[in-house]
Amino acid sequence: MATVDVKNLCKRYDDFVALDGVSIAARSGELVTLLGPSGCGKSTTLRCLAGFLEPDGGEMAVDGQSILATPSNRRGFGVVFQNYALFPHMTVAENIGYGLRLRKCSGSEITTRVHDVMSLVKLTGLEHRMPREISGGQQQRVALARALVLKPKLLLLDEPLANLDARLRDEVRWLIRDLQQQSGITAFYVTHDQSEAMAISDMVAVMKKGRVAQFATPREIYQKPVERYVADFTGEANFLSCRSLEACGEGRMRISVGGAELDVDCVPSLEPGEAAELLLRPESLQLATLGEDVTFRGRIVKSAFLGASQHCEIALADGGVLKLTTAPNAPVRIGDEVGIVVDRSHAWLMPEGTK
Amino acid sequence: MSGASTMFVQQRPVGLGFALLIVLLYVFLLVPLVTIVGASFTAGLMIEFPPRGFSLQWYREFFGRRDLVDGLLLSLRVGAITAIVTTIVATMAALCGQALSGRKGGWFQLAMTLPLLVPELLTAVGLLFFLFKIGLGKTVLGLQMGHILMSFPYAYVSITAALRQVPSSLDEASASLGATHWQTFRMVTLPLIMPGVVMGAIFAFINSFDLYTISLLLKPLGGNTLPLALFDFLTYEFKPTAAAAATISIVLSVIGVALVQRLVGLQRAF
Amino acid sequence: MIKARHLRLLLGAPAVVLIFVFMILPITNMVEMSFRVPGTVEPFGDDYTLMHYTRVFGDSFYWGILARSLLTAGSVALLCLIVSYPIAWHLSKASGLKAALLYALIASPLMTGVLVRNFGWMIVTALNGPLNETLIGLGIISQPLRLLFTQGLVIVALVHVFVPFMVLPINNALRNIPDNLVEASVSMGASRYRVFRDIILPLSFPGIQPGLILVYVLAVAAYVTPALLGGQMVTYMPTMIIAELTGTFRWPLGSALAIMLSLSTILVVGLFTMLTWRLMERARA
Repeated sequence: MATVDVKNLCKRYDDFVALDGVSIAARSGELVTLLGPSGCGKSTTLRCLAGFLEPDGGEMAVDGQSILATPSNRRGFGVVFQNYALFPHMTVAENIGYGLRLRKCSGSEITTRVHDVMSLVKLTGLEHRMPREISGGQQQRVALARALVLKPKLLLLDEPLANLDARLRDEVRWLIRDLQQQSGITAFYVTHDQSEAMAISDMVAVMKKGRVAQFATPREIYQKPVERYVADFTGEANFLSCRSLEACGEGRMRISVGGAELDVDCVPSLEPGEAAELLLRPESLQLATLGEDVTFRGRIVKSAFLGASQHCEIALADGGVLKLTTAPNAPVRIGDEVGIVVDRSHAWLMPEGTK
Repeated sequence: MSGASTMFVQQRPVGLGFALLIVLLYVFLLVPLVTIVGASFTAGLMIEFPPRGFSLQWYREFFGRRDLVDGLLLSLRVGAITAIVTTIVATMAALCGQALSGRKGGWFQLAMTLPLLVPELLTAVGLLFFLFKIGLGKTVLGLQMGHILMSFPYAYVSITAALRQVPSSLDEASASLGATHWQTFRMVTLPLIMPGVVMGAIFAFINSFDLYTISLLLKPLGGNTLPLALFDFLTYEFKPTAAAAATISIVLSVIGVALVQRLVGLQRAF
Repeated sequence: MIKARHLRLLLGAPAVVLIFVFMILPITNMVEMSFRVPGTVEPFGDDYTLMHYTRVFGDSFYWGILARSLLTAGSVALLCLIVSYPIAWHLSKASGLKAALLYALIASPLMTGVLVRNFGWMIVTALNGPLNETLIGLGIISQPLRLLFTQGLVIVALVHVFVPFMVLPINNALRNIPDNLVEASVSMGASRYRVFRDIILPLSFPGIQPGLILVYVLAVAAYVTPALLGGQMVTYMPTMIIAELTGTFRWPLGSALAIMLSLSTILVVGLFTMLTWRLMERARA
């Protein structure tokens, strides 16, 4: 149970800037996810927190106390690695008990605590197996147990699910979230998988080239991204270039797009007249049936039947393309002229940015 | 970028003491070689280090000594033949080893590296009796066979390692294009394993050039390899000529190391 | 397809013949030789006897020399480990150009003949050689030390000869230890020393064990170094065997001695392997 403050963290290797002023904060008991593509600095940030890397500048504080001068082995954080990093020459129980042995706990205390944490992560019975004798999912749970048994102030997870297959990934993901919430441990979680980030985080920091592009709740990151990069990275998205006409209330803007005029929510800093892009998530678009308020008209250029849904792409008259998902039972045909209904409360206007 | 620091930051950096220790250990490794090379260039009359002045007189002296030059020539000749024969036999054996798998492959591998695993002394003693029995005792041919045997595993290991890097799908691809086995070997496999083959030849040559115990027991009548001649020379005359002879041997091995480094990289070689 | 496979297997024939004829047969021959009666004109006679074995195993003189050989080889292997481990560690942390340079530094002695390297030590340790001069210059000793033809120098020179054989397997084992095992143990609170003791050392054992065995086996049977640097005063098994074979021409006795040496080496190595089996089994990832 700890608060964490990372301010303006910087790290460079020769002429590569890995971290360029990263600031993130976690309140007590929160799970904060660092999300981004490889090379964006998310792992570097985590490794600085863990003490495996020394930042060139900036401040890291836990409960208001700087940890910069504390060596890694005295920070008291738990770290879970992508490839588990289990000690191959120790049994499962020895792996989990290693930190306790370092703390000179008594034998009986080690046995009880190892036993307790193993039943918590559902590994009971595997005490005397070697890491190479158990499955990937079990190995990951050993890694988790090994970190949790020390009751760390802060839990650092570096792509913990990346090496698991899709089915296990879900299971372990919920296990991690449950354990983190039960124990109330503050946690930082690194991933490049947006759905993983959405599902388990209290807060998400989307990172881009060594900086934090946006730091907010999953809902905000998805629905109100500050720039196209964030919108792109967090899920399927349509972008339409548009002209902003005038402000119409706090954080709202009237725009002209694809022959229509709409009032939509926008990034607060956006000025009228600025070049802008409208974000429309596929799920806020629908093909019009009779009698609905059609916003755009276009022609279907691609369609794919996916079983539970169908996917189609619609070319608008002015050249824009919209992707959307429809119910599976009404067939769509390429070449059909269709009208599109926009859920205006979930349209979002952002300043025009590079991809 | 990852793993830039494997040790943990903000604890004492690797101590000065450790750095000093490492330097001392490398000095220990190199000191005998450096001393020999240095001593061979002395202008004085005795083996000493640091050398007194600079001269090439001991190299002149070396090339004027029949016994040493004969030794050098015999070593070079035996080494060259060893390199050629072992490389051919080892390439064939490596191709065979590749076709074997599992337990059979393991036994084959073991058999092929046997001369490396059994101490040279035992092989030498056995060969002494055996060559005597089959009438090859004290002949250059007998010595040559001993060298081929002792150098064989080095070539075999290098070539096998190179062969392992060649995906077997290439063989099949070549065959599907209509190539015969020989054509596939000549035009696909051999070019790909060439660095390994050359490395094997270098190792075989250098190993043969350095062999001592086996040469001592199998030495032909009236013939000495360079190490044998050098040993005798050192026992009776302790003069810088020996340093010159040894330097020639060191230069050969440094050339070998450099070639291997260029061909496949030492890290992969060992 | 079957034909191609047979063709391949046939390619191994020359090598198999080479190993069989020039290695297996000769060593069998040596075993047979050790049972021959001594010869009068030839180095051996026609009949068979056990006398060489009863003589060799019954005489404390030979046991003493055997013990010296085994103990010397043991200390060489251990010293070699102590010298090699830091080098291997340093090498395993290097990459790129630095690693290439260090490999060259270690491979150059490896590829230089044993005789040449021993000769180097003769120069270094001569009475007026660089070692004595340095020690006197530093004020550590006042009189030059007589180092040549001592057992200590034999050990040092053997260690020097075998360091690369120890460095390379340990280096490989160390390179196979993922960095984040170290990080994991540090994050759990391990000090530098505990990381070494609990993680690095046990996981590098798959390099240490073969290194020790290899060096031990090679050191037990090393001939050149004791012959050149040990002088007349100290006898080892290999020097004695060669003397019996090339000096006194008692081939059967020499063979029995060689077999005594081999058997005891196999025994030691077997014992060592058994004792360290558990450690190996654990570290085998």
